[in-house]
Amino acid sequence: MLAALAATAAWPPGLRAAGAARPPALRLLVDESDSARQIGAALQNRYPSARVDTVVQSWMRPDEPAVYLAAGPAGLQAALEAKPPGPLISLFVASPAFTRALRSAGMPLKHAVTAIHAEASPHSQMRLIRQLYARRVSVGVLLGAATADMRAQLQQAAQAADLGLVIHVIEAADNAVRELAALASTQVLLTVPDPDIYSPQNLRPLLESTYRRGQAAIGFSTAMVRAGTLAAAYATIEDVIAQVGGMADLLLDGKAVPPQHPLYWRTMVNDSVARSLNLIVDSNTRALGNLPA
Amino acid sequence: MSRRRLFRCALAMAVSLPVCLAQAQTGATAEQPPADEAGLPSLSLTRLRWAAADAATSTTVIEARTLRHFGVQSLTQALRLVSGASLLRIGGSDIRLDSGIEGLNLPVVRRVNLLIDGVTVYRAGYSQLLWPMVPVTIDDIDRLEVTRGPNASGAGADPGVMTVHIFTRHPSDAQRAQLSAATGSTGAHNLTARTGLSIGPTAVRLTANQYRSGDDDEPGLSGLTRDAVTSLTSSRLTLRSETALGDQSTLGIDMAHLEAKRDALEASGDLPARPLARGRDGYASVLLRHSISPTHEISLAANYWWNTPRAVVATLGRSRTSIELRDTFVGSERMRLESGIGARRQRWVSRDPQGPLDDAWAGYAFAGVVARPWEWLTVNSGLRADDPEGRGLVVSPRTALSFHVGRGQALRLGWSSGVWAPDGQDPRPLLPRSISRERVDSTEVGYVLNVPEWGLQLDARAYRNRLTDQVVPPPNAPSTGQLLEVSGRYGGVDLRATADWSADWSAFVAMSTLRRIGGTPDDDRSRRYLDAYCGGVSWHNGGGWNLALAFYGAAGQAGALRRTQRLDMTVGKSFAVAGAAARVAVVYSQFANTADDTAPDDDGATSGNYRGDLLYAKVEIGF
Repeated sequence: MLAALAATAAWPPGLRAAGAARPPALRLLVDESDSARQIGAALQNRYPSARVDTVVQSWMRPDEPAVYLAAGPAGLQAALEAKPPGPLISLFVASPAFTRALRSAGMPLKHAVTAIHAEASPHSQMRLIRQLYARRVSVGVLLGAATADMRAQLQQAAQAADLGLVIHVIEAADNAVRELAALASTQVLLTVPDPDIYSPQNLRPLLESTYRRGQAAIGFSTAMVRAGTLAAAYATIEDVIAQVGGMADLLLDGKAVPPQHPLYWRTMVNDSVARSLNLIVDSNTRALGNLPA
Repeated sequence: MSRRRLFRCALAMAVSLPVCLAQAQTGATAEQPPADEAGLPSLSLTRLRWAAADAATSTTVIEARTLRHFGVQSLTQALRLVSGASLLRIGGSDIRLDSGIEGLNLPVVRRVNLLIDGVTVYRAGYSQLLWPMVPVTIDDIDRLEVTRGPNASGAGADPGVMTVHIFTRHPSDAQRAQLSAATGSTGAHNLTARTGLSIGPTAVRLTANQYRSGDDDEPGLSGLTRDAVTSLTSSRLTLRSETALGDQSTLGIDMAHLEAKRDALEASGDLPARPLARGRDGYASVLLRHSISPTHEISLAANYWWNTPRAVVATLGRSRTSIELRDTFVGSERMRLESGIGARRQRWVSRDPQGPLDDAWAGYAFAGVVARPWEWLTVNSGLRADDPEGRGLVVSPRTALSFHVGRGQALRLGWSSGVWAPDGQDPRPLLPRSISRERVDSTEVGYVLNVPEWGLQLDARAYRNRLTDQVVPPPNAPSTGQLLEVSGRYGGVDLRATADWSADWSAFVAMSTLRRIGGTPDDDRSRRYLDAYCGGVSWHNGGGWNLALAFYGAAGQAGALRRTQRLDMTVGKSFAVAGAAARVAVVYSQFANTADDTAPDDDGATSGNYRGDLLYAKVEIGF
């Protein structure tokens, strides 16, 4: 269905089947930043009729059926405050930030709110680790208050990839770098988008600490790979946008769509780091992922 | 070109080359993305690790978790894990690392260098390494890197036949508090208390430790009986801190205070009495790092070490002061350059009114480059030039070519030439001569294999070393004060492999053999051969259990034929108690040592031959 969507560059079949006189709009709320413009362009490239707005008032059109999209944490915050007259999909917001935004929104919303998270799923990350090491290794994860509910998901992902897993939960007041000592027995540190742990101030000391131990760090974004993590499973703007059609289809059919990680993802490796950790990165690892049609 | 002029040129090159390359790189940024955006990690990361396939020589890396799994309780025991090295008891509590070649002069081994976090800590004057008195606690060791041959000029001072580099736990990595207590069946104990603190931008690690040797079972020199082993009790307080000075700079401070007491020993047979001896060492080190860019770093280090023995007889005090400026630059993923200049002063002071016996200083410069002009080739070259005062320029070059011949495989050709301690003096205080002409030339062929599916890392090498103008005591009369000048040619093979084939299992094996293949005088008996081997397997599971079995052995002929064997069995259990991480470990060891020319005792047994077993238990808890 997604392939057909892309091929016809038209509306998702589900939306058409909903009986609308004309295809309902995908309406994206973005800010004025360059990255927001890229997201808007990618959306309109895949779905030419999609509307991109920077002003909340023009973004909301109660008179026509639409699936509302909000990009980035600021966009999500503005969208939640505006209470759009249709289902809302949050894009490019990390899962902890999405959960926090929903909680802080307070009052219940009339329409469904779901998300395609910014970061790749733990399953994707664990698959990448398994591919990088080509054997069973032990993976350590630091979780904070914002990410403590990821435990079950991480355990399932590690089991599916046949990897060992050590989870260490820390308090907000703890020194994240010092708490890494609890994971010293693991070969890999899997980072998660917890803003209390992987803050800009913490990232460099954390990476240096893993280097000193000969531990590989797996990032949750390409920026982290550039900063010195070994690799990351990540989704591009196009990957996330390609997933929007299917979700919108289901939402307009009235089905519940839980927040989810990107369905489409790819792999980025920092070759300098891999070399210094004596790892061999082959073409199969670089090609690992799930690309949209 | 005169030597002094050559030295000035080397100095100028060391200082100016990184600057030129930096300018060239800056000029290229208009068309190329900056290095940090092209996927290069910041320099603060890359300087922490080297790829085995790019190394200039065979390097043994021993991580803290290996020490932990195999129940290693002291630094000397950790050195058993190094291929090509065995331990030798000289007498009393004094243990030497025997890599074969420095065995030319067994009583005073001065061709091995030890660095702790980049700072040389061998003892000025005698150039000794007293391993039980090294200012580091086993629990503070993050990893050991051991290189053989004079290839270590890139590491800084004193290329010798072997360089042991200890990296201690960074202040940021230390737990908030850790206590450990260990005791052995023959009276050894090891007590450690450590805290890790963060005070604003400063991370601090403070460790207090008391160690009493006694469980060591190293074979001794010919005629040294088990009864001649004395214990040494050392108390050390070490402090390491790092302070972030903004985003680009850090200030590191290391300080250590160590007091040691060696037990007295009564005269027995041919062995002279050893009086009770005390000593006090102090270390202070400051390291200022500044990142000019994410890929360009400059550092300034100043170190001071002093030693004041308080033995009944000895009256000597020693000190070393050094300062070094170092520039590290990563030009691209294919080029890294390191260079620096420095100076050091070594003093050997008598407490009597006659004044200093020795006061020597030396300036030096070094530069090294690691370049990968093509994917299949890594060039790792360096040059070090020392200018000991009034003794002429001494140059130590090295180069290695690593051919990446297949997936995970590299073939290395290396050559290096080095001089040990150019500003050092002969160990005998009354002999007014320099040992700066002692040179070691080494060629090697190495092979590195990396098989990710098995977690296998293999590093093997065949090498040939030529030692010239070595100053040694006569092998048949080592205590007469006479010295000989000899040369020797040695050939050997080293192999070390580690495997982590699953999250639960790991293993290692190391073997080495060394043979004297020529030299003068022809009948030099000081060294014929040294064979050493070790291996081990470790299992650890998610439930916190750890089982390990390791064996060590060596056989060598240095005057006498010696053999040693040891088997260690370790059981450990990690668990949580009241929010703290605790671990209990028990190590059972069996050992057997023989020395073939040792005279029989009254009861007919050969006194140098002894075997026995040891039991060692350790408890630790960390928050």
